[in-house]
Amino acid sequence: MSKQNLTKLFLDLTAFVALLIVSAPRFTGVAIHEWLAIALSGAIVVHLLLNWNWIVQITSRLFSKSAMNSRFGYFLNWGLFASGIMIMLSGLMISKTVVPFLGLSLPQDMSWKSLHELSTNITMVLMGLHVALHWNWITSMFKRLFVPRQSPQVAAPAFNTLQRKDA
Amino acid sequence: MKTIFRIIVILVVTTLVGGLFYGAVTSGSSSTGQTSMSERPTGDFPRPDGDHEEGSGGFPVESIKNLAIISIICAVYLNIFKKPAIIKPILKPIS
Repeated sequence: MSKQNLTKLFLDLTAFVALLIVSAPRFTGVAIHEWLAIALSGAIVVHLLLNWNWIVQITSRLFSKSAMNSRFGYFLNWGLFASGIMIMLSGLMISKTVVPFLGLSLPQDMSWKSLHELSTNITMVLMGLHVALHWNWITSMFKRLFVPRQSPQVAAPAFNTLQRKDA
Repeated sequence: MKTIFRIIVILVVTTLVGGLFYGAVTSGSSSTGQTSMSERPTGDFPRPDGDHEEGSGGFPVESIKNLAIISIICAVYLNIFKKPAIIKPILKPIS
């Protein structure tokens, strides 16, 4: 397994666990909820940087026939990105820890609270589809990580028998 | 340098999308004539579903619920949309 794939797998797993923890503010408390969400947005930027080549490739040939299968995933990822921004924006608008810590005060509007919950629910649905689209990659990475590869010596006896038959 | 440029692109796109959302929400709420919390005269009004200042600890019910949602959607997609594509035989004309 390449070092970049290992980094991607580790980052994605960490971000996924962080997303689940962030989605439970009653469990963590508001302060951890907000600061962990800020850290998670940083992890998402790194996730985008690691997959930059894929984004550029699909964007450049978005309307060609060869990119037909990737198009759904591309637009799904855009939806996930937009809903993530909506979560961050609405979360900052109703923030009780991060924004006051920065010495700012924002007008509190109850509509941001409902938008925060709505965008969270949309994100969870899109995240399910995102995981499903990359399921083969996830399982193959885990197989490579935990299942040891067969050594190339296995093929040697078969080669010897062939030689004997020829002789 | 390349990475910094990419980070700037991500941040610019994020700002644009966030700005669009902000504009849409603020114009929407102002057109409906909703009174914002800041416009109210006095007092700190509690939220209807309760304020969650401190973590209550215990069991992370919301995390489990969201994990279940993600798992169900993932399973439905893989079994309904992906499986027929895998099972479908590739028919080639006999030459």
